[in-house]
Amino acid sequence: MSRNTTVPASARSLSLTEELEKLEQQITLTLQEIDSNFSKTHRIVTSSILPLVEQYGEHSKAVWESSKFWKQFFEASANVSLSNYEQIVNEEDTAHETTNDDLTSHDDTADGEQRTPQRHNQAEDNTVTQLLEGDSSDFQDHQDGSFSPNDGETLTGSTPRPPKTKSMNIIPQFAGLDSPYDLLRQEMKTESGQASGANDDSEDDTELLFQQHTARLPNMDLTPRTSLVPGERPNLQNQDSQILFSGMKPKSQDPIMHRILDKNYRLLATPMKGYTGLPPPGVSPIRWHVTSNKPASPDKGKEKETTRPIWADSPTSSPEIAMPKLRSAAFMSPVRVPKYKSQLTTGPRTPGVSVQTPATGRKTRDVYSTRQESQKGETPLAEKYGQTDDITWSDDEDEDIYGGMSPPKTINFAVPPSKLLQTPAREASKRIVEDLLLTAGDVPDEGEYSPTMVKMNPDILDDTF
Amino acid sequence: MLTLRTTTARVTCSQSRSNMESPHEQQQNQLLSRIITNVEKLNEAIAIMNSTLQDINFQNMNIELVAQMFKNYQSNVLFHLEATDNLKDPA
Repeated sequence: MSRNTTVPASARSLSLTEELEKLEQQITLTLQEIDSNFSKTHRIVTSSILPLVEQYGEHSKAVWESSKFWKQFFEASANVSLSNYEQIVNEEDTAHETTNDDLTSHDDTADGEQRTPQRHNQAEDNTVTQLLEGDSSDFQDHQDGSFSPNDGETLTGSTPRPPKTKSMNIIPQFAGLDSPYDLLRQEMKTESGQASGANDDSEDDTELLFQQHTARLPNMDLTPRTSLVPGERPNLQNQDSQILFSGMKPKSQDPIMHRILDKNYRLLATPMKGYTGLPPPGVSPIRWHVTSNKPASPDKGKEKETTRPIWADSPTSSPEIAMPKLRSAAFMSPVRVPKYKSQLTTGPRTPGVSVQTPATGRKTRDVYSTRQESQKGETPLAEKYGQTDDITWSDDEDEDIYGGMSPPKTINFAVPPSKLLQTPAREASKRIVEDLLLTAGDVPDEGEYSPTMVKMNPDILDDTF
Repeated sequence: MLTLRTTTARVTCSQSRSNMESPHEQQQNQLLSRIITNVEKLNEAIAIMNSTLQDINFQNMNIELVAQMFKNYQSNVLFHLEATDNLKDPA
């Protein structure tokens, strides 16, 4: 019995051992499979993926080399320098992220994988928004202004055309759209449409709308997100666009290009200061508009200067960068009559040559004034000496005429100190222009050098300096 | 991969405890060490790939920027042409 009982027991134990053996073999097989899978993965990654990635890098580098020009082009046109920088996500950014999470949950994209492209697209949209126009419709207005300079629209107007805005107002915000980019684009348009729609009733002037827009945006910036309407999407883009519109320096809230793990790749747009690579004013109608609108509404212009978006901050829009004139008022004495002017212009047109020394200009003026006085008064000097005006002018350079002058006339040449004070500036500017012209290859008219002038110059300089 | 490594380590421990005399132990241990080596290699390769891709992505952000700027410009031009009725069909 015992045998009988033991035999099945031993058989059972044997079967157990077999089972264990089987299990061990299975485990070994599984491990082998795992091993082979890993080695296969490693082989694939190293042999095929990595070369492809490197190739991709080379190609993308080539693409960047080709598109570098266009980035510079856009940078120059917007007068900003764009640069990407890396930012490690810190506590400050967590609020940012939570809003994003809210946003994505609102969009029923619970999947984490879909969240990243969503953000990515947002960031892209913001980026582009900042780069070019802040709002596509905004730039459209710019374009319109540039192509039709006679209409009253200003370039900085952020409102799209009224019919468009109205139609956009009707479009619901949460309409099913194909891509997130389209969604965000639509949303941006709707936002601007709302802003303009609220103002459309009062007035149609886009500039005023822009003022209201910009005036409103910083306030919105300060309001917390909780103040938003519950049904409304609290979006990150809104905030960014506000910052962009207001032209304020964002408090480390540059638009996010990418969000990878714990790093944010943001886009930094710094306005170029003292950028001289721009074409001269008048080439771009956009800038003309900005400048030409300023005098019409000085208050608006002031306000615009403070709230102007960064991309609109071009040196040409500021009045101080007026092109320097060669023939400035310094060379043009108001007392000169056309006769003298014609005499000046018959010589070299350039100011440096025509007014060789300050003494010449002053002398001629003084002579002229004396002539005027004398014409008004008793005896003209020229008539006294039997000379015409022209001869007086030509003899102006001659010493004899001064030697023969009567004492009152000579006193006239001893100019008051107030006039002397004006002289060196003129002298200096003339000399600068003269030097410039000499450098440029212009040959100074030797005929204008006269011993008198050469003699008089140091005296004047000594008096003033 | 990390989870896999920890599970395999746990399996090794339990196996070494229960099947000390098992003839499969050595084989399995070798297999596990092979797996670990392979995973390490794979990790390295993937880390290299990640860093390469990161660099490329960082570079490509500029391209992306240009593309977006062009896209916006195109939409603006389109808007303008539509608004001014100057949009003509492509030849």
